[in-house]
Amino acid sequence: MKESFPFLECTIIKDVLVCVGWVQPDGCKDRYKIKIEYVAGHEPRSTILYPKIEPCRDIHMYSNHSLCLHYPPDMWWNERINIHEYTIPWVLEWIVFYEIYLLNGNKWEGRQSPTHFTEADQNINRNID
Amino acid sequence: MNIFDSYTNRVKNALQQSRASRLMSESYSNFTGADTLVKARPAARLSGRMSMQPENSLLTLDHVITRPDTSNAQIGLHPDFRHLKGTDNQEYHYITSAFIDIKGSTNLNDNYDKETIYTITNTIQSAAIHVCLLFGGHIQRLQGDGVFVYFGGKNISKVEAVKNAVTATAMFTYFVQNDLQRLFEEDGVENICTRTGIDFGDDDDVLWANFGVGNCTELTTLSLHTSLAPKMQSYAGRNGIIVGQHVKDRLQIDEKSFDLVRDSKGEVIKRYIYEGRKRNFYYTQYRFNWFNYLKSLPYIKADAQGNLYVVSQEEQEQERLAKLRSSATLINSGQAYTDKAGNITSNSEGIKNQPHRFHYE
Repeated sequence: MKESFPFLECTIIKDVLVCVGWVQPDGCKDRYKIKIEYVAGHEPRSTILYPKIEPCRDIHMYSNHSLCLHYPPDMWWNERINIHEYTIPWVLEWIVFYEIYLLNGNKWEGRQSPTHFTEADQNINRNID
Repeated sequence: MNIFDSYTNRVKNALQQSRASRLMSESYSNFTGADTLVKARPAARLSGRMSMQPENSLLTLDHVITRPDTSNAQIGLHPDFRHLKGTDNQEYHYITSAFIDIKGSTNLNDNYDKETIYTITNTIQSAAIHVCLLFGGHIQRLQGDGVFVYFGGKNISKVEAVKNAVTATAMFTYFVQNDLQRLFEEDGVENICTRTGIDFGDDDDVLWANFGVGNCTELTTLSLHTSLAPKMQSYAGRNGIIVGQHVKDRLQIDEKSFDLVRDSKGEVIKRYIYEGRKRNFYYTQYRFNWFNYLKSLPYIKADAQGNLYVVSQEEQEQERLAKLRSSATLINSGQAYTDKAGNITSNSEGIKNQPHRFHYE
């Protein structure tokens, strides 16, 4: 992990690999502080610690500021999947699409799961979420 | 550079008024009462005096820097050390010192009257003061046409302080070398230029204290590196900036941006600006390629004629969106890689991004 992404500081706390770091992909206005928590065999939890972002479904962010980066039926997570090859690049993609979302009138331009936007979704008041 | 347009226009107006007055006095020189007409000129003139508030064009920088509150700025009274003023207390704290000198203003005497020279020189000096203030500088002293400025303080990192000093002085140098030069060329005035020396003294090397006696005191620093800034300035060429080794170390930019000080034949003329033989301390000065540095800043661009300008907020946002969209296109095409710094790129040396779809349950 450190070799691929030196901006991350990684430690193991009670069998949980915790990686924290600041990053600002090219073109982004803000620096982001990200945290990845990984228990072997389980899908990692990726959280945006900074800046403070209002979570919502549109940006694939849960109320605890963690991200939903992939649709499980596309690939069921297992212990052979390397997080430096999957999770970290996906978090950086999330940052890129989030910055575009802020500039383009709140449209998510990344690929989304088929269940994310259904016809029914179009009509709900998202504030209820 | 567009950020200095207000200052360029002031000088331009002063030069135009001077030309008009000259024509008028020449035309009326054969008439009785011409003296009275000539003496009446200053009343119609533009005021040469300017406030602490930077002129409008400089405020173009508002979207790229956090503008400090300069309304209470006072010469020689760095706000982080003002508690030492009038006391015997002392304090060690790092500082970046910059000495900006404006050369060749005596040449103006051949072409203009004193009121015009005052407007010109005061506008140029004000431009130096204002751009330094905007980049967090604290004006310590005015020396003739020159300005001695401190950059840094208790709530700013050493690297930021050095960057601010270099950026402010590079912008000012560009203004003198290009915008002013063009104006003066029309009047055949040459040799107006600026020379700057910048050095950094660390926490253990800069003593802040109140120097002098009675009401004749100055809150200033005692440091080899504060003293070296004006000395380095004297080795700068026309519109040149000389920096000390400590500045070079902290800027962390391409080595090619620095060269030793050389004469016209390319021979090194003064490698060490300080040679402390007893301490075996030899301190190197460098000629700084400020033009390349300016061009490397993300908010500075060159127009079709090669003139540098600070991009507007809208232009910067458009450029940013274009970069983001370029990354998004790579991602959605399945050709994206992520490099060690966290940038999305097409360079296959990075980690190949795997396909996925964002979700929300």
